[in-house]
Amino acid sequence: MAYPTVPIEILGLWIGWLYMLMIYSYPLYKENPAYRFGEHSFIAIYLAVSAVVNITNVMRIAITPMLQGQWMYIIPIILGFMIYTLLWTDYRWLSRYPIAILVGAGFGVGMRGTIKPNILDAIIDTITAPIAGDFLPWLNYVFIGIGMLCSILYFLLTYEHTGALGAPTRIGRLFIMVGLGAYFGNTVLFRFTMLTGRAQFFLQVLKIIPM
Amino acid sequence: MRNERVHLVKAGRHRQEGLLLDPLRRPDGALPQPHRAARQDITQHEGPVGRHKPAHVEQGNIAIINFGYGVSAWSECHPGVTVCAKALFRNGVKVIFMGPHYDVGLTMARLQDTVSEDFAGKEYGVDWVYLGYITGGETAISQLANDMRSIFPTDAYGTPLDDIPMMRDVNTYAEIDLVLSSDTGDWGDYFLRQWQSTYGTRLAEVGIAMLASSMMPYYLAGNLFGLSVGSRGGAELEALIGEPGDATVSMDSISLSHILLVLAIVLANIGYFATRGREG
Amino acid sequence: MQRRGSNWAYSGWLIILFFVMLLSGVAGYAATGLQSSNFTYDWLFRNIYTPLGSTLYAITGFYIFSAAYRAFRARNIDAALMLIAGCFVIMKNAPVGEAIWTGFSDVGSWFQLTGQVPGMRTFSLVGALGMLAYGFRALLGKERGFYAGVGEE
Repeated sequence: MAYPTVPIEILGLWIGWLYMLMIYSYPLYKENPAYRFGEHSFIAIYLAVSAVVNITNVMRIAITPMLQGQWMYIIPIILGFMIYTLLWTDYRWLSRYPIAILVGAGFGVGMRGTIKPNILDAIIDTITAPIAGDFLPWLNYVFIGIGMLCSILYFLLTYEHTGALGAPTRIGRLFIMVGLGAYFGNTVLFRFTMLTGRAQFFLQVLKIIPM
Repeated sequence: MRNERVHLVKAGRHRQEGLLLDPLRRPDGALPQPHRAARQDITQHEGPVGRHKPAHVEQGNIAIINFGYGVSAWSECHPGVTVCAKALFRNGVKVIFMGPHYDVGLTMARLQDTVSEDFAGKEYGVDWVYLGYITGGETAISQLANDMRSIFPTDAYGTPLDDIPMMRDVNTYAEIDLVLSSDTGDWGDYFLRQWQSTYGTRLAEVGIAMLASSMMPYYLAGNLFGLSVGSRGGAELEALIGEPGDATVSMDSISLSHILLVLAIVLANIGYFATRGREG
Repeated sequence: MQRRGSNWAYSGWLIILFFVMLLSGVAGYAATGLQSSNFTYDWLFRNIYTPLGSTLYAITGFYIFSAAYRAFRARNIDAALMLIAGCFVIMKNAPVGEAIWTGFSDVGSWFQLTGQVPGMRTFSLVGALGMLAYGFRALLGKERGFYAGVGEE
């Protein structure tokens, strides 16, 4: 993407740059009118984009096929309109039917798919011993096995974590902390990459680095 | 005391911004690039039982690339997707692009810009197709596996799928050879549950850095054949194909910012232990 | 806006911008079948929505830095383990970490490939079990919180 040459596009680029500075004025300084202006602009555009994209999507997926003869699509359109009855207290009960369908379908689809990767494959991979005879794979295997067992015991909330459960749940908590620490380390990369992207944009608009 | 700390944090932020900017101004690659890491690429890891087989692709295979990220995550996800798209095109794989974000059109345009040379040799509708915005969450992905035309009656430009040569015989998971999901959290899980675990479709994740934690168990268990995360993963992929790009450019900045953060944590802990010792 | 609250001007701007964007997008779709074919919609989307969205995402980078500086203290063994794992993964993700000490890459990779696995796998397994339990309860009608007006009866 090259630096734009058309005046209206250059203006747009600089407006985006200014909006970026308006938003950054909040963490770098304090809440101020510029930040509030930028925030309200984003909310307005986000709401409008959501509305436009979803209207066009409904047109594309349901209304156009319906007008071409596939009249079954009238059913989801009616169900979709029934959800809007949430806005009126007296007729709110009508919205329960489409929500029930959505929730039921969502749970059904999710439950079918979650058993294999999250439960079966996880247990199989944990209990399957390494093929190699080296020390490190076996150490990792024991580490993961003990860690999994103790961490799962930590989430066993039916019994108090005392007595026989005291030591395993304590160890499980330590394994969980290691996992959370690694998660934090990866989060740092994500956040700083975002920041780097914005810093690049900052310099590109000023033509300090090429676009 | 409290005001001093606030000033230190604010000063730290300003200095951090300054140091962050310098490598971007002069990305001379003076700081080490992840070449060594490329040889130990996380996507090549064998796993505890060597469950992974390299995902070979053949001419004529059909792949889905899911743009599960918006413009805000371009710096994280786009370099990896760029490399994967190049690799797929150069191996003669036909690609279907789609995405669940409102700005998926911008992401598609950006990919056409970053993979311009490979796109130039490809014909729309024969070698690649852009289906556009998908909505509906996991239910939509589940339905996509069974009947694509119910989710996408047309492509993003309004052409019915039956009129697109590449899509004439493609309607279900059975015609798709692999899925590359690049996302910020949810959509890779949807493909994992609805495509990979249900039908065994090969799936790889090229997403944000946090997925290195949440997706790692699936990679080790063999549910994913590949996992490349964050700008670091993108830089490794760029090093693998020998074409440094946006991710490699950002590595200097990432290195400095990470070192600053670790130094800050170390200093904070030294201060904490020193004052704790004094109080104790 | 009617009440002329303290930020009524911002609300007015919000409403104006909302309708400009909405009408231009719908007009673009009505004309060509693509909402981005309208110049106003496309211009506002590229030059205001995308920079603002990216900036709001990136704003957390500052908070990560200050939060890590203020809160990441090795007060006890739990916090210390979290700190050690986090620091090694951070240094592994930074290419310069290898230049300082190759151990950062080796130990950091171990944390990524093995160290974090018990915790992360537990989260997904326990989450899946919870989702199954909640799903069954919802399908059997025991959980009704997502239906509107349930608490008002």
